[in-house]
Amino acid sequence: MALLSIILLSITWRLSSPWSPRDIAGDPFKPPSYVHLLGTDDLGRDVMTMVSEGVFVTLFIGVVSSLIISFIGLLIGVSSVTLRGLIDAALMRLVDFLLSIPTLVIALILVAILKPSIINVILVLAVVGWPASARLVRAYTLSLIEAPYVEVSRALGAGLWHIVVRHIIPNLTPILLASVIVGCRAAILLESGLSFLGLGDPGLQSLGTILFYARRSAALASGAYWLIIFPGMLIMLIILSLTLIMLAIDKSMKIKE
Amino acid sequence: MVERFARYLLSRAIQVGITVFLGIIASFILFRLLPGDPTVSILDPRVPPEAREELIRRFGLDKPLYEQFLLYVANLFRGDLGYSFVYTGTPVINVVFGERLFNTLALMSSGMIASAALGTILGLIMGFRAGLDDKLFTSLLYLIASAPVFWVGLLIQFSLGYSLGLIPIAGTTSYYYGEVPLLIYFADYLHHMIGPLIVLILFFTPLYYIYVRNVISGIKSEDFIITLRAIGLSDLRILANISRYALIATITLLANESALLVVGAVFTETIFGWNGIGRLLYDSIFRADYPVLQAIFIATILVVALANLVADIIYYFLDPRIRLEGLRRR
Repeated sequence: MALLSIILLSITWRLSSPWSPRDIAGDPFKPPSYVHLLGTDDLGRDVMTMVSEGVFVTLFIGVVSSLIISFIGLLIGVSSVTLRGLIDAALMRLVDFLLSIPTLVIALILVAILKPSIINVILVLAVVGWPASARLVRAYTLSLIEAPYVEVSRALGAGLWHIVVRHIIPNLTPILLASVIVGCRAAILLESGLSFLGLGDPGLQSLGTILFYARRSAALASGAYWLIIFPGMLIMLIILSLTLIMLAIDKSMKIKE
Repeated sequence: MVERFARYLLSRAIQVGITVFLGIIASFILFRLLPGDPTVSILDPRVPPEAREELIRRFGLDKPLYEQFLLYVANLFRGDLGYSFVYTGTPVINVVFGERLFNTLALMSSGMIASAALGTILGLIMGFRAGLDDKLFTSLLYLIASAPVFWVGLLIQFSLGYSLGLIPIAGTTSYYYGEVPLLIYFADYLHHMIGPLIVLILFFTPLYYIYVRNVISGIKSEDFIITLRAIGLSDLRILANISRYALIATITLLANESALLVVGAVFTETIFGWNGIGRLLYDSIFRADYPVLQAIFIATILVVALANLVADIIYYFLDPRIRLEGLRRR
């Protein structure tokens, strides 16, 4: 609900705002007022307009990378179980290893090597995000493959491909949904972090980027709290909404069992 | 008994060995992936050609890849990680493993231990009570857990630093070492640590709290708890009994988070200008100081491996199931 209202509010404001996020709309560092509901930044741009666009950039990057993450997770997780043996063991060693290193370190080093652009940022988010999804899918596939109806199907002579496509993947839907939400949450946090460190796509302003510029323009020393509080609060609300959705999915899956 | 422990320890040590080995391979590949000629990306373009020839020979960059790898590993074991591009002439090992590592470890270990203790105790109590106060408190901590660290950092810096002037705005110390009496230097150091420490505690406590609380509220309805209650044990005694589970949960989480001990505070250190590894990582990225990045990566992997080994040993003594069946974690 909260997520929905954030999105709706952003759309409304983005469409009805008299300024573009890059327009100089008034004097620099103006506190919130009736003209500029969230004040202006160091160049006199309207913070509310910037933020409403930032919400989209942030959500877009988060959703796209979480879809990629879940797709890779599905591919690796299912094939790891069905191929068994050495490949399974090797893949899971790799997943364990990647999960034990802080994602931020890998992400920072990768971004340092690649050039910061929106495609590279999404790529990096996917690279650090897939192991968690793969482990989740694998654990669930393991329990599915032992299920009675799969055994019946196998006894009737169904091939591996048929079992995977007809039985495993449809039953993975709830876990994939969970994986998308978890991945989205992690991706948004990481993307905001990278942008805050000035490693985001320079052409796009996500919520993290707004905070990066706010810090660089010494908003804190000039007492321009509104430049800091609102973008950050929006990230917090988005993350909180995703966490609550995650908890709800978790609960409904437990009840089914 | 001793033999069993030895066998257990050996199997864990092999696991750790594999992790470190994978890490070394990863660090080798990752930094060979750098776009362009490795002599360009690993060597500073400003060095004269003769020096470059010398370095190419020393790192065997004209040899086939597997020989390069062997040489790389050999150099690694000698502690030779190359030279920093930025701090010219300083071996990387001195840039990373020195004052900066100490500062980070001081900050992170106090932050993590304080959070683990706070989160575990609160989680234990709230999970056991499971009333309205538990609901409210848990919601509050979910909210805090959703706040991005860097934002919390900025808010703390703004409120306590700029507005109230209670803490220094940035830096590790205000004096040079030896400029003032040791006690004043130490007090000043701690004074600078307050801001980052609050941020870290706000970041880590919810993690421990939520994890421990869920473990405890799951256990509460198990048969043996009902039995204990039926026997007539007081709540306090039952709580003491359950605390072992909370402790295992906490140690699991501590081991998982251990990698952050070295690099966990990139945002916090950057915001507060704390002279540690996290800020070094951030700076090195902008200065393209690849040898330093590589060293930080390797240091992270070593800490991860070591912490997992220590956690496994603690599990062995804490959880009787492991003593009997061997470990099947995760």
